[in-house]
Amino acid sequence: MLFKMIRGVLYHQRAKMLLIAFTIVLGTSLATGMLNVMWDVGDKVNQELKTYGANITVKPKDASLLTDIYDVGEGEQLSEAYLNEEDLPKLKTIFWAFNIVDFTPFLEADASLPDGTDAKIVGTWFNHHLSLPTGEELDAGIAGMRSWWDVTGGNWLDESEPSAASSVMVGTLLAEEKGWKIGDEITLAGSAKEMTATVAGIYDAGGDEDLEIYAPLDLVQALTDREGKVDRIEVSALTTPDNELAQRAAKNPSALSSRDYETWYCTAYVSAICYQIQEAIPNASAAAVRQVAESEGTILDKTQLLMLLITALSLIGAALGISNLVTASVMERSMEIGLLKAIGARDRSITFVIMVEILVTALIGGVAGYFLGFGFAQLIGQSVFGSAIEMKLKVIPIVAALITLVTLAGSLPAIRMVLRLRPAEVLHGGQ
Amino acid sequence: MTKRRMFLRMITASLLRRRSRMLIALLSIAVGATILSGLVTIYIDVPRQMGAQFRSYGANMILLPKEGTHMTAESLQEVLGVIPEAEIVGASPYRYVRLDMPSRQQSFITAGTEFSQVQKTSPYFSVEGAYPEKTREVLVGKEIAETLGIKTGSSIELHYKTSGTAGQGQAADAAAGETLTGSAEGFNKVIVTADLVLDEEGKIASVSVDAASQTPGIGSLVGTDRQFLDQFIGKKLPLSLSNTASGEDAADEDHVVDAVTGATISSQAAVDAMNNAVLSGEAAPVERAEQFTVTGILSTGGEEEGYVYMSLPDLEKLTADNAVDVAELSVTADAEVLEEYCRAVSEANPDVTARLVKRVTRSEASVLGKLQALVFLVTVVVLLLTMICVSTTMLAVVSERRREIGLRKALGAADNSIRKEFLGEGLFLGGLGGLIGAALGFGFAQVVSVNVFGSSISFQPLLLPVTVLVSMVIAAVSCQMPIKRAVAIDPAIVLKGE
Amino acid sequence: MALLELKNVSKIYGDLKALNDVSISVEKGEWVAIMGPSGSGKSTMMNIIGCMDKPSVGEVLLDGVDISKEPQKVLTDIRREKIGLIFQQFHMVTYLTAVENVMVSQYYHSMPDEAEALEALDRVGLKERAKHLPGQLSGGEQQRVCVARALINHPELILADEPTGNLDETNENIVLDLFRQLHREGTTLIVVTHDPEVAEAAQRTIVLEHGRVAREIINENFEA
Repeated sequence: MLFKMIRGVLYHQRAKMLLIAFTIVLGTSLATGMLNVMWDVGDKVNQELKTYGANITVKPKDASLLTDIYDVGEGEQLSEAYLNEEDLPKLKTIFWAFNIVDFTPFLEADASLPDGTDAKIVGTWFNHHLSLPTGEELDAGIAGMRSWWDVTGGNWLDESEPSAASSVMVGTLLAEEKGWKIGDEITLAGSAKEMTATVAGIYDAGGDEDLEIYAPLDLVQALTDREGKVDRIEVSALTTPDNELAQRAAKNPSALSSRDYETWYCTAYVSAICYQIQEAIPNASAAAVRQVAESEGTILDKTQLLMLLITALSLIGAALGISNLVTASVMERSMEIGLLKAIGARDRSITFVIMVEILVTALIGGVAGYFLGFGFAQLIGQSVFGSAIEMKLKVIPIVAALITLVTLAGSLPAIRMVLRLRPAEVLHGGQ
Repeated sequence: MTKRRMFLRMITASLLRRRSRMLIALLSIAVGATILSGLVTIYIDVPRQMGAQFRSYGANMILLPKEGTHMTAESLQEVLGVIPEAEIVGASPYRYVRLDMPSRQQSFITAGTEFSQVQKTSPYFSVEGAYPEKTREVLVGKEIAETLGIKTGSSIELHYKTSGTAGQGQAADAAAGETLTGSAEGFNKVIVTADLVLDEEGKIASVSVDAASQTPGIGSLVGTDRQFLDQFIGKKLPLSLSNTASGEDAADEDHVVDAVTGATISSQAAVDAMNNAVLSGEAAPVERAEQFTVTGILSTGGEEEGYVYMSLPDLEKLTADNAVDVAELSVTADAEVLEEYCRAVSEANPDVTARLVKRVTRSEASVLGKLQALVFLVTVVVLLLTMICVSTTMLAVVSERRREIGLRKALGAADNSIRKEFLGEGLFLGGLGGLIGAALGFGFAQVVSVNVFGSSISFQPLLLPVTVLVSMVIAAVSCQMPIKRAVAIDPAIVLKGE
Repeated sequence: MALLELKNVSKIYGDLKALNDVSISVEKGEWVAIMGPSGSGKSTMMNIIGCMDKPSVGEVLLDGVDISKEPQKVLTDIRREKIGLIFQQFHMVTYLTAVENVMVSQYYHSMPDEAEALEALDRVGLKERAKHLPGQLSGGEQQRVCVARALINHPELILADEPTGNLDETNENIVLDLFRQLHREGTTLIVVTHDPEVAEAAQRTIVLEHGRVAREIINENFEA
């Protein structure tokens, strides 16, 4: 009988139940969408912030200071400390390898130009193809780490082209001064030999780089007879904003308790990643570029907090929306409930019937809403970040609990109110 | 009683005596309006607030003097006048000079700056210890500190040296107070030498002439005659004698002096010596030293770790000049506006070039754009869903009154008249709910702003009427749907039903 | 002259003929009861006379106007101007007081006038209850408010559908006494009922069966 009654209500009150289901669909989709977006926004924004360039620099231990403090020419390096190019793929073997987004080596030198002047030439990877021992394939290089450079003439050097080995990119100010154009052959004399290279691209970096030449690493190594050597590596890594533990660890990891050490080591703090890089690459000293690393932390924190609060508001909105409608529609049925009471139905069974009806409706609406909400999340992910939002499983129980709670909370006061009615009053139109 | 008063009485009665239903409708509208005004306020304010957060990446604009010109702290202040003060987060002047530390046989690039501004333009600077506050205090880069074992509280002595090589004596380059020496051939092709000191404006502050080689009592007077020598004070280079043939020089009082009577050749030699002193004179090597206390060790992860930082006045004292090499500006504005400011700066002072730090502005534009798009989409989706929720609730609340609508029709109410009554009710609910929601929404936005950005949000006056209007429209429209259905139904069926 | 005339009126719902070729005539000032068992077509007839429904076939002349041909909007006007309705279920606006419910009728008709509305309530003996909400009134009181509401605009025709159907005997008598008063004042009354006692109070009773007029009874004991 109960089943028949419920089925009857669901069938005959289709329109009203559809309205409730529809609202629950919307509320659930809102909650699902927002929660999914909220939990993924950190990763997404983190990716976006990679446009600021590297957040870690790796230099040879002990050597870095001298070249910086003494204003000595690059050609007459006082220090013979270098990192080895062959060690670079090891970056992708550290614990947080997956978080290493991009990296590129640098080797600087002064090149003499035929007109008697000197120019700084920087050897690097542009889009260097790497096949890692793990089987992973990736392209690393500055093409992905200098997103703010405008290539005003020609193109980014493409290392997969055979001509790339003898091509260079030139800063716009230098090109202007020397009158170089795309395709021009320029002669570069290094400490070891003289080479000719083709100008493949002219870039506007808006900084000192505009007076420099960027060349493939091999070219600069050959020019200065430093085969396999690099000065410095820039690494772009996805990191977790620093907290107190990370700050303590950054000073001296060995001072941590073993448990703290474990936590720190297994969290993608920039200091932990630096530490792991030093473990992986011999004779390396990795340091966070504070300008990038710290700002990333600030912005990530703020964005996540912002999304959290917006999500909270939407959840409250969705909750109130659903419970409101449920209340309204239960009240609307005062006549029917009065009738049920008049024919002798007990309060408990009336409550039960109404609750089951509404929960069945909520279940249907909730399932539909979950998928719709996931659609919303993808819509936002695709249109804002151009990538999918990861489906978080923990959203399901949260949304389920929320909808159940909200539906019950919405129906209880209304049911209580309706039960207080005297059936005669209701049926006589007094209500 | 007029019809209008009855109309109002019915609506008031409906609102007051059907309290629980009306509260539901009102609550629903208020929630919708809260979300509307809250999210839109946040959406409007996000670029500003987030933009301020992006200032943690440091300067996005730099000012450089044009080649061959000077920039000083004062001229910088003038130039900054073209940028709205509220948008300037900070403006740090920098003067880079190489200072020596003889005790360790080292030399470092030393930057003179204003620390209060540095903390704003480079918030990522991490100082172990404290920023210098008093004079003769310095900040030392971590690499220097580690290499040389310098600690907070250490005392270091820094020396400023000019090598005193020839060929530097351009008029414009002569520092105030520096003694310039020059010589020229006088009578009998014997050398006359002159020393002079210029003040800051390039006027001659003091002068002495050695003319002992000239005819005693006649030519030698150019070195001793006070009347002759005193007339140089306040004059500017190049100088000429008033009795020379060149008329245009004679006309310019700033550059013209009178010769000693009867010693024209010696006088001309003295003037030539002074002119030469500036053009080809040798600047004497200078060395000044000062003792500094290290208040903090700077780490940035960048090349700044190899620098020493001191206050601009301290560096001025050592170098005896007030030039500024570059100024870093952190301005809360997007790239387009920044470009505008760059142009404005060049117009205000043609000697200053303003450039954008592309790395920062470009990346900020891209990330901020994404964030804004994110908040925009979220706002749109949330608003849309909320508005539909509001509509369904209104729909349910009005549907309940089908019987009443039937009764009114049976009593002779025209359809329009019924629509008008419900419209009135809907508009009232919408207006009230909108007002409540606008206030709550602003409160919410304020909470978000204070919690997330640590600053209060700016009230958008336009948003109040917009929120109220949108709420009224939504309430009215969502009322009309069920009413339209209800009035379409025959009153007889409604009245007979149930 | 006849105030109301139904000429060969039929109302057909699908296969069902709710009214089948009915012709009746009601004079001005007359009090007529329409009787019949459930499903005899009483309510259909009432709806047609009350301008809430249109016949499938036939003419309905109210005050010389054929209301079967008029559009819905004109019907609403006619209902408002000429007819006062009383329902079995009372049907009051639940959130308006008794006097306000009366005034609603005035509002749609012409001008609300509280004094006049109170007078009408006084007439049905409810002056003291004027400020009460329907929920606070008994069924009889509610029906008396409905009577006051029906007569407030001085309609030419009062149409009552089972006016005493939900009332006890005391209240039934009060309502019938009110009808007598109205009749004396010259108001035309058509009362649809299945209660013989109520029908006997009228001058003439028309009995419907299966959608047809079965017979007409003139009440000889009628007391004006």
